[in-house]
Amino acid sequence: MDLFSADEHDLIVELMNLGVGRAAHALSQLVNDEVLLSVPRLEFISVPEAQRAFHDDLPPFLAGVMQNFEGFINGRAALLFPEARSLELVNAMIGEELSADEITELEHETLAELGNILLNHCLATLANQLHQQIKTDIPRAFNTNADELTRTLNLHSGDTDNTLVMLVQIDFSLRNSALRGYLAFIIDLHSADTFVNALRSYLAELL
Amino acid sequence: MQSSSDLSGNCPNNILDNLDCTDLLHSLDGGVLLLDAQCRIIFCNRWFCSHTGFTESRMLGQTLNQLFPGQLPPALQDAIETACHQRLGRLLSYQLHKRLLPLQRRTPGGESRPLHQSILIQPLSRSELTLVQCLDITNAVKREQHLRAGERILKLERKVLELIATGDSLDSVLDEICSTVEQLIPHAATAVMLLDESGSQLRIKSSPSLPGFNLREDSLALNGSLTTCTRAFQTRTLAVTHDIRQDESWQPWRDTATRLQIAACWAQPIVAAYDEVVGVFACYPQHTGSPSESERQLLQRMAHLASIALERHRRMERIRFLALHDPLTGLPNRSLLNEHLGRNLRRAHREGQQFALMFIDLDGFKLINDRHGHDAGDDLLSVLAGRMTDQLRGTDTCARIGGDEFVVMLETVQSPESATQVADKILQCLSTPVQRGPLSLQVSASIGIALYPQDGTSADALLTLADDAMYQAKARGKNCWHRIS
Amino acid sequence: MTKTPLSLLLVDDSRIARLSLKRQLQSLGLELALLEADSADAADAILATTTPDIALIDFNMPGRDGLQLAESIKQQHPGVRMALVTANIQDALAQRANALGLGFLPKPTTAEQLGTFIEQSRQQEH
Repeated sequence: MDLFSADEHDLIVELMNLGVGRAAHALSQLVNDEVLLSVPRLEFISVPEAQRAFHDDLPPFLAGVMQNFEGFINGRAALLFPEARSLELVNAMIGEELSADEITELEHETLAELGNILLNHCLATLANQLHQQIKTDIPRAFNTNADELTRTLNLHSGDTDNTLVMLVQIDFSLRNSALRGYLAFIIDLHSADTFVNALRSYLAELL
Repeated sequence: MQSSSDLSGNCPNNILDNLDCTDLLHSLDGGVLLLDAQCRIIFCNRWFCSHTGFTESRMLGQTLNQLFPGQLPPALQDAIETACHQRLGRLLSYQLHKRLLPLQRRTPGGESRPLHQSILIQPLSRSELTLVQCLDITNAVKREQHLRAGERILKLERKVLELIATGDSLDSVLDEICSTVEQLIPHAATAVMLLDESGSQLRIKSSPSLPGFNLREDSLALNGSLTTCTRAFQTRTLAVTHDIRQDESWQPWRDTATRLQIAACWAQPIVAAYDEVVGVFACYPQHTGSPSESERQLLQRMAHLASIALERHRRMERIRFLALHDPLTGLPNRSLLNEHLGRNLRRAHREGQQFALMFIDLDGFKLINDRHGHDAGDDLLSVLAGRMTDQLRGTDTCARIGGDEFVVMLETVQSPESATQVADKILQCLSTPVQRGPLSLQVSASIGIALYPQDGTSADALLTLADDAMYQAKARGKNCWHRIS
Repeated sequence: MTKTPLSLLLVDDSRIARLSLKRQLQSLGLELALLEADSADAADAILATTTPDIALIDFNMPGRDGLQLAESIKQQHPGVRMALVTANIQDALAQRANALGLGFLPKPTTAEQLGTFIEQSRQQEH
């Protein structure tokens, strides 16, 4: 999607990096170990493109955490990672060596908190740096597959022509676990105007 | 949507309008707080009051930090502030935080227990207020711990079974069983005791965490006074001594127990096939007390694994034995003879000593089989094998290598005469009749002797020479020995 | 006595990040000559012909990361004062930076922090 100029895109990536860096710091204090997060890729796509990307790029079975947000932009954000590794991630977070077979209810909650911390920091950093306001809801954990993801994220609700999807790759390194996850931000384009204007003012000051 | 029954006044909309939401919040099973923009409590429900011990009036207007000074983990304080000030919703999970609000729950017995909780902090949409929900997940945590504990046991059991299957030594399997229990029952040492060959003593076979554990030279007599372990053995069920200081039978080992920090003893019998008790699995906790239900089950499971390991070990030993011995007489077979012969050759060579090899063939054995049947023949062989062994030293070998063919190896001889003297004794014991019921069975033997190093210096040479000498003895009229000179 | 302008090399794959740094540096009112590189390789190309006084290096870059670049600069141009600039504000990374003798500047940087770092670098030289 060509909604953003190269500079605007660059700025968003920088802001996302900042947010993710802060989330890593917060997590590292919680788990008492080094947490490295990086953003190798970020792209803006339309709903149909998103459906294709979910099918082609994402692992087939996903564990995820989703929360709504409203403020200078409205929509919902989800953290997605391979379901098979969700237990590994929880174990890395709580520092245990359990090799159990299945993830339990309480562990699902821990994953939800991981997503909550990450998404909050990304959204809050975005808002703060652009001098805007945002509010986030509590997270909800889920399991899905690449085909069902569209429905889980409510991709088709509302005006799909006016829905912007920001897909961000995230590389996690938590204790000895390294894996790749995705952040999907489903943004209501009606609110995107505020977003774009905020970006432009920031850049104007810079350039 | 229009409601159809305006007349009754009991349509859903009216009910909702008349509902006192505060009442609803108070009747919820879970803590509900409403905080203002400065994190102060402006509403708390009954559940919250009863689980903190504070009255509503005490709580209102206070922040949680003020109510519990110095008791709240930084993550919780931070989450509350971010929610109230920055309007970011937060979920605090039990597993990441373990300790959140200092809440208490009452057990049916009236005791106060800490509460495991997870907390949801949600800034409300159209107001400055923030909703805090506190969920009591103590039961869920218990269930999960149980589930995970069960999985851990299964994983450890699988490990032990794999060791058993891959034929690891019995000692390492028993050590692994001990370590497994010690991992799952903290602050307790364990030991495996097995019945010894005499069948009257329990001997310690494995005690990885109890160095130098001596129970009267590592054994317990079974017909002495009853100790925890012997009790378990006799009664075939778990025996518990919850305080060894109060048990007279532990008197002789009080000092050892103090030194090794043993306060109690739980003994589980190890029962093998055919309901045979073959040993005891003992657990020695560092604190007095009896085992809980899950600990009892663990001891049972581990004792069972021990019996599987023992049973397998027995079978492996039997197979090894059968591979190297004659099933009928129990004498070494040709394979084992070759092993002994090779070893002795090297030794004799090293030490510059002599030894003797004798080929022994029974005369007239076939006749006994034909006349009296194979059972009689077998019995005769067994008896004669025993008689031959009696003439030999423990270091000598007597092997059965054919139907009625034997080889005797005298490990060391001082002179050829000592060899021939033994040969004479063997001739005599073999030609003495064997009584079998009304029958008197008699055979004789032809013996060929070869000496190392005079007659030969290799296994093949000695065997061939002894064999040839045996044929010569037969040719000379049997019931004699011959040495090729 | 005239001061020669201080030369700084800014290494970051994000143009916006470099712009942001430039803006803050310029606000300090110092005589500065600024050079830019968008990757470790581009930085090497610049270092082949010029040796800056100071280098501000982003940690998270595609290809070689900031620490790897800093190590190679330390070996080839030991006189250059360097700082790692990063959104990854964690002790472990800060320690690794310190072990190499690098400064550690968390993102987003402020003009004050940059000013302090430049001052310290100047003092070290004299």
